[in-house]
Amino acid sequence: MNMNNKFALRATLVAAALAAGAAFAGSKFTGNGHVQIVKNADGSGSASGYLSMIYNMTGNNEWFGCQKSSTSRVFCHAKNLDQTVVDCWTTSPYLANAVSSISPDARVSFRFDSGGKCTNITVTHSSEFEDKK
Amino acid sequence: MKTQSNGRRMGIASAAAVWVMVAGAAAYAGPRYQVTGVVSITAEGTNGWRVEGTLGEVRNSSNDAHRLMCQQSRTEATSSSGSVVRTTVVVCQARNTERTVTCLSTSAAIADALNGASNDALLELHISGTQCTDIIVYESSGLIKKA
Repeated sequence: MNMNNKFALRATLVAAALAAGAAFAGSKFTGNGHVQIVKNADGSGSASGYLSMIYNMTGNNEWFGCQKSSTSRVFCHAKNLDQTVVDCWTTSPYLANAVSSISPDARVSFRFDSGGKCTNITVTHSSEFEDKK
Repeated sequence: MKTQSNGRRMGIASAAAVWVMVAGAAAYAGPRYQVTGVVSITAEGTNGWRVEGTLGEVRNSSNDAHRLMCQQSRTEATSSSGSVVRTTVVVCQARNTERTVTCLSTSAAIADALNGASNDALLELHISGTQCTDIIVYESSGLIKKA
């Protein structure tokens, strides 16, 4: 390998290193992303999770999901690492709108009352959240 | 759809964003939409701000000061009298190397604007004081994917 080729290779490696650094240097969410579940004594509770982080982890038996129908029937459910499962439902078009905002990398949380009815859905979009891989 | 026939976004100052061809890959990649400064926060009106950024480009930025997020929270409860009480809260925050701006709204219409926002969406915020007065979500083939 002549000097010109060595210089070109070195420049390429430096450029690649800089490019790799650039790809991972923006502000990032640093939490663990696992499903968090709270169950209160009266049967009410809440759950939250980071959809893409849950998807990207390995060896984690947990999930989080929400759905809505054309008649605004909303169903959300989640299972955490302790294998605790919670779910809720509602027929509220108002809360169904929140489900419409969910993207594959969103943070989603829901709260439910003692009857298992969804009372709150929160969806967060952020540059800090990773994509599903 | 906020695009004109020439592919540029409507209502965007030319200084705030540029379409670029990826160097060395122009034959294989379409043009990319890049926001000047990655997270653009510019004064708008009196005590107001206009924010523009794409979730993908901001995440991929080489500067960890850059951040852009929006959250909508909807709560519905039935009171003891049987009436339904609905509460909507939208919180958005943008940060670049110069400043951080945060806005709030309790408008369901503002929250509705976030419906359908994808992982790579462009978010344009209009802020007056601490209020989010408008949120525009733009999707395009040119938006940069999260790395």
